Amino acid sequence: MLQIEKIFEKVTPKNHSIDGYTNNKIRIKDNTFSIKSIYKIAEHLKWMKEGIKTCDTKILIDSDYIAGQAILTLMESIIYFVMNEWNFKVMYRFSIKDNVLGYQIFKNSILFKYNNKKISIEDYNTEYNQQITVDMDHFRKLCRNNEENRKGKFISITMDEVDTFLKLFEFDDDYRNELAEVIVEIVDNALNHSNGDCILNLNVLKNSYHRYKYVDVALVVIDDIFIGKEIMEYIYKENKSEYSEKNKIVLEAYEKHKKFFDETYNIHSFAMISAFQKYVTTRKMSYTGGTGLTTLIKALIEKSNHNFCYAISGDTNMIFIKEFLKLNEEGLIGFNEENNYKEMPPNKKVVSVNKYDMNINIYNLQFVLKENEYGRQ
Amino acid sequence: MGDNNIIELEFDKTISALAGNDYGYGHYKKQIENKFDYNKRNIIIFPEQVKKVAISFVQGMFRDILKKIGKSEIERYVTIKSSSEKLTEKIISYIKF
Repeated sequence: MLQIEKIFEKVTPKNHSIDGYTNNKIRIKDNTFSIKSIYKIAEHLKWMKEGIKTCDTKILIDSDYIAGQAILTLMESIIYFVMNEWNFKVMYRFSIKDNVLGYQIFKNSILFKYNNKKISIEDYNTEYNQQITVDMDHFRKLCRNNEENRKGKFISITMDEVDTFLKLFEFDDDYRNELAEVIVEIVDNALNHSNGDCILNLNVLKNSYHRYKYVDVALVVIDDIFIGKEIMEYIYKENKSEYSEKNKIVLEAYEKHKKFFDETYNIHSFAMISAFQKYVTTRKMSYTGGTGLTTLIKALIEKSNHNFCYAISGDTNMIFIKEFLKLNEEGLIGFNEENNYKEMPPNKKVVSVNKYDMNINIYNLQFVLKENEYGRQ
Repeated sequence: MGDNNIIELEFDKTISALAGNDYGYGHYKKQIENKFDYNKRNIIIFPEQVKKVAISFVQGMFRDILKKIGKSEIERYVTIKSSSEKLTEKIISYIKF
C-alpha cells in the first residue's frame, strides 16, 4: 500500500492562501524546496479538505533549488493522492532555474511534464503507477510491499534491473555491481521493516563544475514505522529471548545514551543510529542479518565524496557526514568524533529532530561513479 | 571430513542476481535443508547464470547453517562453486561477514 494518506495524519490544517482564500493560491518562498515546503503544502491541503468547500488550488513554488529527488517524490505522491482521493483540482508552478543541479532531477520527474499546466489525471496516474520507468538517465521503480515481493525473487530482479540501468553509463563493472547491491539492500530493508510501498528513483547526473558523474538514489516509503521503531520495541520488551544475542549491544549503549537525551536527541534517533550497527537485527530467532545497512555505510565511505546524503525517518533527520562515517573493528559506527557508538551520542550535525514529521521514511544518497576505461567524463 | 555432498542450486533462469534475506532463506529451505550433511563437505554449486549476489541473500541462505556451525568453521563444511572465482570469494566473505 502506498499509504499516502498517512502523510496528513500528523499535519495540523492551516490556511496558507496568499489572499485569504478567495483565489486559494499558496506560495512557497523557501530558497530550497524541502521537507519544510512539503509540510506547508500538506497543511494547506488538509485545511482545504477539512475547512472549506473549494477543491481548486494553485501552488506557486518560487524556490531556486530542490533538496533532492525524495522531496519531489513526496510532492508527486501528494498531488496523486489529493487528485484521486479528495477530488482536488491542483495546479503547481515550479520556477527552478535550469542551470542548477536540482533542475536535472526535476526534469526527470512526473512533475515536470505538468508544470504550470492543467493535469490530466488519467495520464498522471498512469505515470505514477508505472511499475518501472527507464528514461535516459532516470530509473524509477514502484516496489509494492506485499509478501510475494518481500519473500520472492522481486529484490533479485530489482538488483538486475538497477545493474542493467547503470550499465548504460560505462561504469566500472565491480563498482556498478556493488552499487546495485547497496541500492537493493535498502529496498529489501525498507520492504521488510515497514508496511508501505517503496518508490525508488535513480538519476545519473553530471557535475560539470567538478567534472564527475554521480548516481542520485532516492527511496521513499510512507509509513508510521520509522527506521529503528522495532529496535525501540526491543528495548522496551521484557522478554527478549526470541531476539539475537547480538542485539545486547543496543541495550548496553542505551544505558549510556539515555543520559544524553534532550530536545535534540531522543530514543527515536538513538534507535535509528542503532539500526546501522552491524548484526543488530529485529528479525526473530536469527543468527545472521543486520548487515544490509552496514553495507550501506561501507558504500557511503567508499563511494560518496560529499555530504548530500541524508535520511529522514519519522521525527529524526540524519545526515551522513563523511567525517563521521567510520566503521570500527566490530562493525560499529558512532557517527561522532570518537567513533564510539556504545558510550557517546552522535554528533549534533548528524542527528537532529525533524520538525516536519509526516510519517515518511526517505533516503537521499549520492554515489560518485567511477567509469570504466572506455568511459569519458 | 568425509565424502563430498554435492548440492546443485537452481534458480529462475531469467535471474542473474540474487538478493533478499527471505529469498535466500526460502531457497535454503527448498534446496539445501534436506540435502545438507553435517558429516560431509557440502559442495554448494550456484548455477552459471548467477553473476551477482547480495549479502542479504547469502545471510538468509546460511542463517540456519550458521546456527550449527561457527563462521570460522564454515569452510570445513562448505565449499562454494559459482560462475567465477571472484563471485565464489564474495559469497564466502559474505557468509563470514
